Amino acid sequence: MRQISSFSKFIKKSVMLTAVCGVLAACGGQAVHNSAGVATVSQDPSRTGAVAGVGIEGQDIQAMTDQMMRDMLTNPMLANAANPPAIIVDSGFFVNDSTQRMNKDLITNRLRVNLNRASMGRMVFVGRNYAGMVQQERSLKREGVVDTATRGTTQAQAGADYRLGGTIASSDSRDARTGMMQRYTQITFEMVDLERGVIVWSGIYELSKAAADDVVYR
Amino acid sequence: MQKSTLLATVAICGLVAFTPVVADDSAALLALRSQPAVSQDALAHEQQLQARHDYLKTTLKAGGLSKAEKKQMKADLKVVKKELKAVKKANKKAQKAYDKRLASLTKNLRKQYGMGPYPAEISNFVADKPEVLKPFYSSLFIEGERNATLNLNRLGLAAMEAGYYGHAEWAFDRAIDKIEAIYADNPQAKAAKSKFKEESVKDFKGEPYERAMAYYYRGLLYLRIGDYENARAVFRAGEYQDSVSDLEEFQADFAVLNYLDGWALQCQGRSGEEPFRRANEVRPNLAAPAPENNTLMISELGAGPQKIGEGKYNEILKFEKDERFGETNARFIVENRTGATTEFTNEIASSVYWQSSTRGGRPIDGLLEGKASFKETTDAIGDGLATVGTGVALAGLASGDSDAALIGAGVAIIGGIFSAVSASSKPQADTRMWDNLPDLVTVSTGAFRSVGEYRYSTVYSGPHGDIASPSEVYMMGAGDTCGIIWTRSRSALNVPESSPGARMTWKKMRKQKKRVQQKDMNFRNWLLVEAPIDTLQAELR
Repeated sequence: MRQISSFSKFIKKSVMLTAVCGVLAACGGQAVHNSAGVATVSQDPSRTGAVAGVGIEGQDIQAMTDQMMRDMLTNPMLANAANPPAIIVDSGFFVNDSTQRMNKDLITNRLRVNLNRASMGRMVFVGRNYAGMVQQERSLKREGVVDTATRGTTQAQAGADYRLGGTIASSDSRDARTGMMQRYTQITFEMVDLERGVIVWSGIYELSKAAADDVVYR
Repeated sequence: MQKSTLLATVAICGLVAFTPVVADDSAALLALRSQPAVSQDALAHEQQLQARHDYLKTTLKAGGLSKAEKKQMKADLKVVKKELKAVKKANKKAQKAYDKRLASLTKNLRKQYGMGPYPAEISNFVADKPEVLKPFYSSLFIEGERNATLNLNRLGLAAMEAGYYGHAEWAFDRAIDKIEAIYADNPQAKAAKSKFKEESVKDFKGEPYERAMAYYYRGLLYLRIGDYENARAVFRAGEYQDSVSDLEEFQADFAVLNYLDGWALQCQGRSGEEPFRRANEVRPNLAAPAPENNTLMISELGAGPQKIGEGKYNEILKFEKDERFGETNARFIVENRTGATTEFTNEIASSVYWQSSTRGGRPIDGLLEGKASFKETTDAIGDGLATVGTGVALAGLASGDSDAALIGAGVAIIGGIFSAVSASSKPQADTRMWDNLPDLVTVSTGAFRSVGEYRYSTVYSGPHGDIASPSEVYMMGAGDTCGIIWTRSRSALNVPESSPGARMTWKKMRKQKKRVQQKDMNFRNWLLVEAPIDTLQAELR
């Protein structure tokens, strides 16, 4: 009887041990770095990033255009000239040299609209993108199809003193071990004198973002 | 018949009589949803009666009426009250009947389709889409978020070939948005790592070669309209997608993307020297185009790689070359208005199969290996315990030892549990694939006065000479400085409605978690608003 009891205990222990071993063995897998991924984090671009991130987003466009607008309004050549300078702010010479597809007008339109509102006449903006529209009306006036309205006529459409140029550039990198992706984006804004080619104002905006996809996507 | 009774009858009968006779419950549900539970007339009548009732009551309460007026008003009130009660009852009944019908239809549909989409929703969605793209839109709608990127890619390529460039641009833009979205702490991605879920439960983003090809096609569409800056941006971003290769020698070796990066720069009037050099390093046959060349001729050959699962449990993702087609090169025949022809022999710029097969190991492979090992181990333990347990139990029964029989039975049951756990673990690799991709991408360039002034045809050849196959030009376009001609030896439209193995059965779809089904419903609602409709006719090729 005692023999049977000890056999039964042995079997029970064996079953339990086998079960535990089985579970431990079965659950074993290869450890993967950072398997859940890391949500996108904004970083201070003046410091070295852990590894940085992804592209320009709405909040970046707002922040950069606000910063550039404030900076331009403190430039005496642009905002405190005796005669308000005529300026073109559009995306014609604003080059996207980054790895992100984008509509550059999002940046230049916001900059122009806010500058126009904040400068209160200290700068005059030439709508070169509307040149066709203006020419159409001028022709109708000169052909006598319509009258000259209230502002009279001029010899030609307005020329510009300055025009915005700039570049959006980026540098991408990836850490193969952790799957972290990093993008440093640099946006430069320059106001160029359209007679002499002199750059009368420059601004720069930098951002660096890092993120990692879940391991199942790496 | 009193007016109230008549309206009540109309309200109830309206539901039955004005519900169109429909082929299936989903159409009936849509028709029911499109009409009010209670007819506008019945509701208006109720409001009128209520207002009359309130007026009479207030006037009587205010007093100052003659006896005769009072008597008349009281009589009116009695009639109005009775009629109002009847109308309210009828409207309530109509609402109840409506709700009941709605609940019954929904219940029937949910039994079969879960939270959808239901057949009528699918046919309504594709109704205003171009005929040729309907199967692709249908898949996009049915398969939801999980296969959205896959279906957008398939749709984009099909639309590009069919000349629906608005649809193609929309599809590739949305696909790239999803590829670039960061999936961190994503529940479906987390589920894909579980031992009891297949890898394919995750939302599809594609392997690096598939991601890179989405950028490649978007770039070609940018080149078509002369947006060289964005074209260059996406070619470079596509090449970055290819930088995940395990082996450094194969990182960023997608030569065609480097070549096109250089081409887009050249079209901007800038130097493409560096990307052309990178392309040349990977493919020595790819020389930088002459500076005066302004037209890019791309021809895609064969069919892209097939994904298969290898290993005991199909846990290892492998790529197979699709050997069905023999073409290995293309020649463009360009004919001017006088009938004179010039021939351009394309150079192979990239092989999509090569890109897929040089990717190396994926981090997820370790997890799948762990899942396979778990399945194998639990299976072995289950088998072992079941055998030992059964043996001990039988021996116990034979010897009349009830303790031993009991222990044996217990061991066998534990073995059974292990076997069940093994059976429910799912280590299979995700083999969903972008099935209308080509294999070889070939390029040549030429200097033409204007792209539209010439006629183009393509001759495809293999090791044994020319191959008779379609030589149609699928896309032709030009910006201020450069033009593009794009052809394929095999049609991107000649694929099944759904990519092989990508679509779940309805049973599996309706058994998905409610959260997942809700996400798909939201995706479908988004599609109903955002997807382009058939207003953009196929543009002139």
